[in-house]
Amino acid sequence: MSNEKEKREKPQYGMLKCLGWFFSRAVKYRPETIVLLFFQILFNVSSAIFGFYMSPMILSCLENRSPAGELLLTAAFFIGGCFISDALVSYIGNGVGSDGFKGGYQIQLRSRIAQEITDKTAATSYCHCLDNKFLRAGERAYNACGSNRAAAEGIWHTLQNLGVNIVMFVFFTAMLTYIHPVVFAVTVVLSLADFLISGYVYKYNYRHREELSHIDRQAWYLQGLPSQLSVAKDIRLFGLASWINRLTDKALAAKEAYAVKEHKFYLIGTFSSMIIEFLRSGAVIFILLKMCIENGMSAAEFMLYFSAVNSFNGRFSGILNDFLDLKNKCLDISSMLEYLNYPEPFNFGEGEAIPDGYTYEIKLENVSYAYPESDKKIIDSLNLTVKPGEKIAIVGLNGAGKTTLIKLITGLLDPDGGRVMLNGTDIKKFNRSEYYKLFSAVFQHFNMFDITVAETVAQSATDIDLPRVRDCIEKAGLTKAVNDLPDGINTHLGREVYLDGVVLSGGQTQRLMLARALYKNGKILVLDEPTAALDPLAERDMYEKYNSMAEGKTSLFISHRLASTQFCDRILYLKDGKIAEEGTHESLLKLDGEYAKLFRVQARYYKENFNKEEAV
Amino acid sequence: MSNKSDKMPWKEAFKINVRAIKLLNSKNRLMFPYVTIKALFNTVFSYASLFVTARLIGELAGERRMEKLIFWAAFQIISTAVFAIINGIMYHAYEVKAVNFWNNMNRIEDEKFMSMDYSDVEDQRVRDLRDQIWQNRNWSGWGFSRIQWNFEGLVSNLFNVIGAFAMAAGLIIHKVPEGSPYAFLNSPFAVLGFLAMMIFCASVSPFLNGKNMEMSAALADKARFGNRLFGHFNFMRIDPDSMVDYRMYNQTEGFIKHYCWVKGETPWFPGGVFDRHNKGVGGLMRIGSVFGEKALMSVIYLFVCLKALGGAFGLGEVTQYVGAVTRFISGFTWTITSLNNFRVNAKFLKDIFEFLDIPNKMYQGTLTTEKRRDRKYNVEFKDVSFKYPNSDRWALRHVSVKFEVGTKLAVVGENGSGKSTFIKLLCRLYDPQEGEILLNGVNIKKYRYDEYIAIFSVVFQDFWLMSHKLGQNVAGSCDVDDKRAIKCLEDAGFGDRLRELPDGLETWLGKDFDEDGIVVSGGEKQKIAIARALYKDAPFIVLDEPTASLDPIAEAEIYKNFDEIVGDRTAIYISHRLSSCRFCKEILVFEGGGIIERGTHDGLIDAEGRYKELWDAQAKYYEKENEKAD
Repeated sequence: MSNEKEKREKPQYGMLKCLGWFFSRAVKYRPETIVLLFFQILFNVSSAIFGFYMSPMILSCLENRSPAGELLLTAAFFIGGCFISDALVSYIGNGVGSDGFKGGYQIQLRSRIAQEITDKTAATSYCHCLDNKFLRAGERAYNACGSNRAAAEGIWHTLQNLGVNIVMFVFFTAMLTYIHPVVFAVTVVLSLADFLISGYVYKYNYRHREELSHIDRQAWYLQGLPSQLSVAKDIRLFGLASWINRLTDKALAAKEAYAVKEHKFYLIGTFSSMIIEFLRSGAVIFILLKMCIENGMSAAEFMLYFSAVNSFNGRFSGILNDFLDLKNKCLDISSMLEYLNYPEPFNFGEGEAIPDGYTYEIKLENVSYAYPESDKKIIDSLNLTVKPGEKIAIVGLNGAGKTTLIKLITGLLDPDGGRVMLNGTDIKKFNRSEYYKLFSAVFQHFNMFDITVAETVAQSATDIDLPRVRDCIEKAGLTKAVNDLPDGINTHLGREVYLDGVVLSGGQTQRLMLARALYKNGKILVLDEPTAALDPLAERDMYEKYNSMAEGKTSLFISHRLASTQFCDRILYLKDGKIAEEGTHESLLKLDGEYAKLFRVQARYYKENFNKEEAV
Repeated sequence: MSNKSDKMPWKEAFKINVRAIKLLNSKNRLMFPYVTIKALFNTVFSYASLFVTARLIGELAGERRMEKLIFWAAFQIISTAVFAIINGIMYHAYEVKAVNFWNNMNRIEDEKFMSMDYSDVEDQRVRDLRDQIWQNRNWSGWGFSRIQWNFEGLVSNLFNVIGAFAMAAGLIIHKVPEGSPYAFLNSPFAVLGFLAMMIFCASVSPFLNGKNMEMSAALADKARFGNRLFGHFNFMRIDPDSMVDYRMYNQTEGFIKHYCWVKGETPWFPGGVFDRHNKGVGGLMRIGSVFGEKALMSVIYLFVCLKALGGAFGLGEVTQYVGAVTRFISGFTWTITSLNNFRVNAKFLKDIFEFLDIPNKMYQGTLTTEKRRDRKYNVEFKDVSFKYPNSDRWALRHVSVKFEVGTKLAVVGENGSGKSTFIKLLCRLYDPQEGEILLNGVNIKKYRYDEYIAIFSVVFQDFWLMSHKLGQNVAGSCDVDDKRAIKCLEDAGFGDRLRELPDGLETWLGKDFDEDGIVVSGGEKQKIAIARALYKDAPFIVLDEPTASLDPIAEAEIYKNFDEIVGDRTAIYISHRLSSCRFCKEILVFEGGGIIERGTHDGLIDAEGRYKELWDAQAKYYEKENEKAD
């Protein structure tokens, strides 16, 4: 099972390719980062070497009874060297994040990379949003650039450590071989053994990652719930606090139980490291003592070499760990690359020019569509021609395929079979981004940002036609509400970024989205349940304005409220992915089919002589 | 909200930290004692090892007696092994203790959110305060999480300092033999002089580190803003719903990039406040801090070496003293730095306690409601007026209404007319400023809240279901009465779907808690929420827009079953779809915070008022056809 998983997660891009790409981003956005890395390594190395010699050299002066002047000079030299190196290291910065000034460059580089990922997300073929494989790739790509420690920034720290460790490893290797080849051999063999055993032991979480993620998910899901308004209300009204508390207790107990198992296992690592350390320091101390007694090695040298062995051990396992770390970081970089290079089924390159025109004809030929990983055809061999300037209403029960049909027409989804055509040309031939410009659309869900009201209507921060913004706000019936805001149309919406922002009600938001659609003034108007959150008067107001909004445009209108369909030229009644009935409101009532039945279900309650018993 | 650039007095900072530690310790039992013991062992072992090494060096530099060398070498090797085991066990035991630290920390807030007045949960100032606490934590761990790091740093460094004193005492005690040119070092003045220099040098680094920390903490507002900005604009969630607008409105090019790269002040980037700080004053202070450490090191080496040159002690002692004093330096520096850290952090803790100390302002009565078989609970609003906190506008004004037992009441009105507020007052999520609400003639404030709320079942428009098991959701508890849950689900119209589910009530809803969970549609969720309300079996049932996300058939089904659902309960039904008024006995029409009309459907239509206008707005599309169709 886990074997299969690893196979699938095998990175598409090798380490060299990943590093190459990452450095190319660095050169493009912030070349300073590379220079700073070089200096970080340089000064860390010099600090380590000065520090390594400082104590033994001073001791050696004392041991040899050198004159005070020489002792002072020696001390001054090594302490001074250490000072200069350490000062430069701490000025540039040594850790992760904005510790030292290198952080600014590294953070900006990471943000630029994150922007590339975001650009991909915003532009990728919409069908990817329904594709679990793509979603997982996206999640991994974001994790790789989501924090200071994530690969896109943390890799600098890894590279720095690796660089320093490699240089120091070479240095200590030379020294150990010089002391005694056996010391070198013993140290290498035992350090390697330690690394391999620890490597296995501390991968416990990796081996149990599914269990762990299951336990973690439960504990984290419950966190922060009581602060959500809808949750807070139901907690109070249904007395859910004790339920939530019990579930939280259980989840945390499970986490702790796992941690007990995990850390008990780690004790194996503690023991093995202890034994290896015992053998290593035993052997080394034995050899060094022997050299002291047989070859007359001085105490200062003993100390120098003894600490050299310790340092060598640290550097050696350091390199191995850094290398593992680098490999993991490259894995993360690979997931960013995989995401960025995810092939696009839609045409975003050069396409045929969108025909010029005031109105457009849309034609669906034998269109079928099923959601990924599902066999059920949501749209099934559907044929439809929307004439230029025609006003179409789409009705049907939940799950009949209304929204999917709209997504196919607007080019958010491509059909599995059949064609969608605009003025006779398959829309696949157009540049999809250009095609999207044709539509003024209000869907049921909105993507709101903490930008100003005017920016929201214009959907732009730089190019805002203010009179038109005001006009559209007026048409959407929001003028009074907007004027009541603290800064009028310059008020920020939402409070995620700007603390002086305001939160609009559901009805106001729906109207604002309408204003946004009007501002865009696309040639084709698409409205998906635009009145769901509106009260009866606002709903009537909306219907009355609909004709002027749709004036001269091809328009599509989805609604549960069958009343709204009456001012459309043609009504499509969708059932099981097909157009079951179509015609005008009157003709459909005459047909006395499903539409008529549905209409009567709704109308019954509005009849003069309502009788509850006969309902449905 | 406190200004982070003001310094908090030590005494206040101490108090607030002690309070925080006590609180955290009560939520993470024994964690702090564990840290302390762990740090103690660590220090003891570290000094023991230093002591042994010094003996070995001393012997090597001195007489080189074989048996002594072997003794100390063996001591060194064996003690290292033993210490490694004990330290390892301590470390892992502590990790287990600390595994839920973050969850427990969040839980403190969650518990507060569960217990505070609902009006405070909804209060934007409270939410802003909470957001600020979160942002401080995410930015640099300010708040509770710092205490965990700081506490461990403080105790282990304190132990280090104490150990260093013990180990370095001989440095002062051992005298330079008389007659040596370095004998002047024996004079108390020389000792005091060196001590003074040491203390001076030792204080440079903590002083500068503390300043640096304060300056960077003073940039908290900018840091939080920067994180909010990028979190909001640069890290988008890939969910199919919001992805539509990105494409249809070209949002990235339109404004997202502008906010990230042109308009946004980005405090972290080159040129931003943090960068300027790090390159300027902050960077210089770092260098100064390193200088302080090295100067201290120089003074110590000087003193130790001169005394050694004078013959006060041998090489072994030099190793010991230098080692001890070096540890003393870092111990001292970090003790002071941790103390500073505690002090700076105290301001962030203050925000947390400001949040945790929000008082429950609602009066909590002690009366119990009688458990009445006949469900005869009379609720009456008597001239009730209400304003939301921080608002000057009356959301409800002079509302008087009495519910007859067992009546079916429809509540209609435009958006913002006060319908939802009315329900919130009825459920006592808020208390009115004027007038009173009575239950069987007694002000509802006088009842225990849980007793009072037990008589209401409410399905809010934005109801919430946990991503957990179906049965537990219906029961709102871990203990489920299966028969009753199934009956309620059937009454709510979920019966057919329930029979399709192989795991029945044990089915997981959603995938957040368990990956095998099922995805339920909006309409199905609504039915489960209604089932939960029925399971509660309260004499009042309130339904707020229960059919908003349903198609006409599903809506008609709810209408049809309404009588069965409601039974003999008193029902209040809020809807924009006025068709629902037809099966309610009485209708309340809200406008501008007041009830402007009240009566039966026919009566209100005849009255030709607001209700008729609302009705006609919807009905006109149906009536004409009705005539034709009939």
